[in-house]
Amino acid sequence: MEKNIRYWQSLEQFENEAEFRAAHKDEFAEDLPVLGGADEVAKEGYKGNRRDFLKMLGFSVSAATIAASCEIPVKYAIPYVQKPEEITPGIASYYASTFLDGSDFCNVLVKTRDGRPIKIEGNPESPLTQGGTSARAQASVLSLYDINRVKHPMKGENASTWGEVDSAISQSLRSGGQAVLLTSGIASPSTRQLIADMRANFPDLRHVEYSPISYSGLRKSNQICFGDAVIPSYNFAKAAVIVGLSADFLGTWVSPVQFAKDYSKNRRVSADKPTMSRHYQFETRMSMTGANADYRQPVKVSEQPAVAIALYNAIAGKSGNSTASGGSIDAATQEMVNKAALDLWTNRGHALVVCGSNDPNTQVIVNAINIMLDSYGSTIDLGSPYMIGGGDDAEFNQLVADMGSGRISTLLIQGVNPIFDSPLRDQFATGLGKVKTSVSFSSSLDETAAKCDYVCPDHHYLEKWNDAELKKGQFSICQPTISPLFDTRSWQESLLTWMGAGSGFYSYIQNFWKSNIYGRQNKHGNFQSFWDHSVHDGVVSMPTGVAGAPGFNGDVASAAAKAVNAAKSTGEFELELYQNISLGDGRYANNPYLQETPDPISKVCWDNFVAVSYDDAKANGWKRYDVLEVSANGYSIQLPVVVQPGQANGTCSIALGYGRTKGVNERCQVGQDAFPFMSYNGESLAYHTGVSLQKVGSGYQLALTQTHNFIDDTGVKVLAKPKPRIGIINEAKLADYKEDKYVGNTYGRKLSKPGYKEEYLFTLYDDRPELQDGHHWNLGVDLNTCIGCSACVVSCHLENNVPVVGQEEVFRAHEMHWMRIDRYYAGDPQNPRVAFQPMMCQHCDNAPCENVCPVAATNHSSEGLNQMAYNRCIGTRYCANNCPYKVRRFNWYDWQGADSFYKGTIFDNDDYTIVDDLSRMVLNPDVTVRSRGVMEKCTFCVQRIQDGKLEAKKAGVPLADGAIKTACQTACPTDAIMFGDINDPDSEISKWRANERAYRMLEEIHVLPSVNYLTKIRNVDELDSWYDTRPDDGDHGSHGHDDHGHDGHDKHKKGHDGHDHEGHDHDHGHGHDHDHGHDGHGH
Amino acid sequence: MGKKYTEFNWLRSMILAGLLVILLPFSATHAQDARSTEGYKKGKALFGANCASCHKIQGKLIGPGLAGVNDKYDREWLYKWIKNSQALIKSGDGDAIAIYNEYSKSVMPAQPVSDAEIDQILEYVQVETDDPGGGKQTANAAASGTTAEANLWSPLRIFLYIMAVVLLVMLFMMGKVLSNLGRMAAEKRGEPIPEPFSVASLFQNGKFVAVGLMLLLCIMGYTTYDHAAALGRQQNYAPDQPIKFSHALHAGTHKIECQYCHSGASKGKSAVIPSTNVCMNCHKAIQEGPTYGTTEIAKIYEHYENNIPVPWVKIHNLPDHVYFNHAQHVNAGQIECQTCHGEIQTMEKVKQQEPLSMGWCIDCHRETAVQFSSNDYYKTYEKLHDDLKEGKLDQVTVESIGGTECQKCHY
Repeated sequence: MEKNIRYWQSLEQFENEAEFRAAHKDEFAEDLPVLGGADEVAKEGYKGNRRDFLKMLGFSVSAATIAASCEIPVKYAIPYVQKPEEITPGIASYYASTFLDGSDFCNVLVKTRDGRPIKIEGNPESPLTQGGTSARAQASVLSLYDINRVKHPMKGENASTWGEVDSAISQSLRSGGQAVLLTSGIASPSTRQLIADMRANFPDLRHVEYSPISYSGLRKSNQICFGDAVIPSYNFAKAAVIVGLSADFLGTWVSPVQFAKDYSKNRRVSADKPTMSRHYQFETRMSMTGANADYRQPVKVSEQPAVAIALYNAIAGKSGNSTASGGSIDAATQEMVNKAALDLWTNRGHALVVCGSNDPNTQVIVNAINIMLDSYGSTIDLGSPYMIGGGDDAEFNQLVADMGSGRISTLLIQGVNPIFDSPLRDQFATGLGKVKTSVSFSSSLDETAAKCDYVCPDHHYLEKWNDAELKKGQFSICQPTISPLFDTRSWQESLLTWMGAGSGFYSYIQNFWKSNIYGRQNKHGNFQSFWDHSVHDGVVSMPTGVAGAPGFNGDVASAAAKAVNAAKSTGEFELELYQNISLGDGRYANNPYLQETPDPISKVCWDNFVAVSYDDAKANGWKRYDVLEVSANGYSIQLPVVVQPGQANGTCSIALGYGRTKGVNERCQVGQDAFPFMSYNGESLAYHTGVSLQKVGSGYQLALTQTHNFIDDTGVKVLAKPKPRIGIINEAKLADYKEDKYVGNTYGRKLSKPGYKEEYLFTLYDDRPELQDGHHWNLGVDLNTCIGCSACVVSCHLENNVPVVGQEEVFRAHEMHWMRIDRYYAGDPQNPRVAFQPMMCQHCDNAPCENVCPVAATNHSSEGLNQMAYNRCIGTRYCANNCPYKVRRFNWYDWQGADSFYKGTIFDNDDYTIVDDLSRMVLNPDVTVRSRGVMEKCTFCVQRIQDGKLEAKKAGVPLADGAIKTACQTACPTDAIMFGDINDPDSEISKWRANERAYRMLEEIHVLPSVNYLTKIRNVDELDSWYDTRPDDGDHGSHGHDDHGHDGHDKHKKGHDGHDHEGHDHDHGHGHDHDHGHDGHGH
Repeated sequence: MGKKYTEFNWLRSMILAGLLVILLPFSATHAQDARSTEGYKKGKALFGANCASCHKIQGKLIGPGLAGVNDKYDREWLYKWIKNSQALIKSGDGDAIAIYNEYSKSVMPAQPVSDAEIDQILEYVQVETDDPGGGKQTANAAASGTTAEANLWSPLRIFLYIMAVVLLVMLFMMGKVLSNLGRMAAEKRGEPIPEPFSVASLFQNGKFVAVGLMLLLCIMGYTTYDHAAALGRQQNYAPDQPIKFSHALHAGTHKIECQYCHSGASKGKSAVIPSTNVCMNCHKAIQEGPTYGTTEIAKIYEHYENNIPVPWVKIHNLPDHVYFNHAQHVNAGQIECQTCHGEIQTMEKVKQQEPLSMGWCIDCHRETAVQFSSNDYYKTYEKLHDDLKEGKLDQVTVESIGGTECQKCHY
């Protein structure tokens, strides 16, 4: 039964396993470095000698002596004068609010300590995001403490006062002439009302919404088909079959947190419910969503409409509708389309097709498909559309034309940065010069703000009152959680001031809610009570009936022709532009947490790159670290190449948002700007173009984290008896799981058999009776629902003061992530299967790190935690050397200013790490800031464990299951992480641990990890036949699961001729239980 | 200080034991029992939370002293009065009107407490009335400590010191005698005469010098380590404060509950230095103090009116890598404030009584029993409960549930 799957993390490994392993056999990526700075060592190597040693010794002794004779500084305890009732120093308060930035949103709870926000959690009351968060929402709190924020109003390049700018701008508004308010999509109903009021005051005022991440095409298609220019709401929880046409709906499209939450509900399998949705994805680049699909088909950008048409035709054939023509696709794609169509048709009423294209015509075809599938009224609801993601590409285009002709006298710019993120940037910049009074509300001096006459900095969202109607009928409140740090003003407040309505935006919102929302509910008898509850909960839901199936007015045949036309591009390669999960359209470029969050698929951070397909790279001789020149329409950039498994042949992809030059820290000015490749095609923004690629260099340094912590198998080979395969990823297909709950989990099955443990798992340790009493903490990770979104990684950063190290240090494998998400590929490098595996300290009960520490700085607690005492650590790094999971992180430098001697040390790098007083405000005061020279790693959020226990003790009640949640768990939008006490037999984690799918990673080496992974189940017909294995073996044939046993073994015999046999042996997710080097068969 | 006479530990123990026997009859064993009841403990907390801002047990504060209140009024009347004094006055109750008028018609606010809670408060008041020396038990213990230190030069000690000197002299003389006898014997037998014993000759003995040097190094090493480990500790630190606030007056004489001001102690990490508005609760009315008159109290008004916080000097400091939570100790552990802060109610100026070293913390964690049976949280430790029942354990200390593990305080 068990499959023979080879996993690989990079193409280097795929192509030459032996060489790759040889290169990664050392525990640490580099020899002992660092007396000089990073650059110096890189250039000249380490030059320490005896004299240096004596100098250092002398310095240390005298420094210690001097330090010892210093007087201890006097510390003060400054109390409040009037203590607010709800604040107790040292105790966190949580405030409901709403993260809203451009088209990103998330209902959140803001954790504040002693009056300052330090952490974002999801708001479980929210019917939209349902307690989930995204990496961007998690990291948003650091933007509050950004030293690059504009700290006061500005006139030109000089500081100004509110009085001065107010009088100048209101005069300009009143002086007549065309005034324009250019904003990002407005989700706030009060602000929409305010803008309407403003237009009543200034009849010449025009309001234009612009979004560089445009949903204009989607809106327009709904206007054409149904008469409403809206983004309908999608319900992935109701969808049994999902087809995505280049829509990254789990990562970046429309409402990813909500979609991920709903999607995961149908991806979770259990013995009681052994069913899951089936997900097809047709896309150009390997997106995070595509990586989670059961069936994924790479298609070119130009083929996307053709795929939609083919899918339309295949379903129309079944429903009896007339077919359309246009475009052509290859046989493999057609086969996949037919398969998807059959599944969709069988599940009509529970099917959903979504498309990420910004071309209205492609969207019209998709709408037609959804009409045939009866999706409207079930998985799609036109009655409660999203109110975010506004922006009309045509209106913006008109505005730029008007600016160019000098017709605009006053321009107010909020939330957008067109000089960076618009295809019309040059025309906009020229036009801006012709505008008499230009005002930016930007909180940083970005490319656009730097060219404006006035900058009236807006508050950060954590400093201001705001509201939002994210979806029709779903209202949210955004409340301030800290007094404004600088002399800034909410932009709505500015508008009110210029209108001369001075009562403030807070009372404006209140009045709006009083007259427009309060009346629509009957729960609260007076407005104050309604308002207080709304602010407390952060969300208010008003009932909106689900709209039924609408009448369809689209013309599929003409749309098909237009769509195929619009997708065509001339050039050697088709370039697809996309936003990645961290930087978006570039608005988060100054956030180091997001910069250092690796891309879920490529695992590149601090840079963008051009992704090309495996075949194209081979054909053109491109390798990793080569630099390609990408040019089209007279613009060219040079980017490092990443050979991306799964990228469609003949295409390349580049992330937007990189290459910012203004208003971001020097260290964050990374990557190249790809916005000029974007174009306006007369109807909507197009994110594709034909380009030529030319190799112009090599040896580019890329901050790529995936191969930094390569898990090898030395221990398994020596220790495990009888030798099983090493278990990193376990996976199986759904049909097999229905019959056999242990499928894919060979080792779990063995362990469940009585006597196995006693016979094979000999241990020198006693059975640790202390772990049986009281608590024993365990973590669970469901590989089936983990989508790789990295919200947990950022959440861990913030909760545990995990430092950001910067691009150069990532080159040297010095990144400090306590938690990483390993991404594995299996199968054909042209279209591999992907598995994500969150990896953190496994808190082994037989921890190999503990018994090699010479000073017992890492040891085991009676609650099963692998403890790390920073102050006892002397930095030998023996523990990291002995960790099979590669999760220990060494502080090569004082990243966050923990040491007394910091300034003037050789690594005075406060440009981008958190050492200035403002950025340090984000640090969690309950967690030690580690100093240089000590080891650190995941603690299972021990501060939360201790806090949870104390709360129970204070109340005098037993600790409830679920009272303690780790930071990664609360951040997860798919509930893939579970934490709890396995000594409590009724706890959720005990159930996870007892699950047939549960396995411990590298269980064979018997380190008794406390992290339980649940086998990944894929809803595919055939697991093997879908994917090939190693091409180097000359064994491309597919394997049905029936003919497995001997065949699988033969395959390995062939493998001997190819290259190092050991290389094949290791990475198999589920193994045969035979000793691989011999002939014996386990079953 | 303490280390000097550790070698005489047995002696000190004997003296202490003797002293304890002498002092035992004076200790308030009765009050100890009364103070260990549930009612007293809860009553004490309730009193601190609800009553202490206006009432003391002995003597007037804003309202009357409560000593003897149980005898003066019947319980039903007290329930009514405490819950809603104004209603009682309006109903025309004679006693009520009398108090109202005596305290110049200042209103006692209605208290949100139940009859049962009033009973607990009154139990506390009763115990404190019967045995006002609430701190006597601990004070006695402290007194016995100082007695022991004073006894360093007691006649017995002086006698012992003299004896020790005499013994040393005798030892030396015996050595001399032995040496002389040896020489005489050798002379008699015609053997070579050994060198006479002298201290100087010791230093020519290689073995002696080597062992001596080793010992010296060990002592120096230990002393260096000991002092280095103590770097940054501030035992006996007693800085001047911006306002000459006296804990002896507030907590000692007036017996204001510690948590009235340090209200965070049972809630969270920080015990909380009271904000100025807390001072103003009482000092709105009390404008003159017994020691400094109006000068020090006037400083409160200055800070309060100008909205400037008082820059108190922090005395008890822990390193950044230590996590300490007051609620864990005060609330969950039911530890008295004095255990770590010393006899704070006697301090005119607060000083750091204890070293706050890790060894000091650990020692206490090894010895102190947790509230194992009274707090349901600990039900999760089933095996320890069984061991207690079966008599395998006398008590469950903090250590036995992992309270000396690194990551209980360092994370």
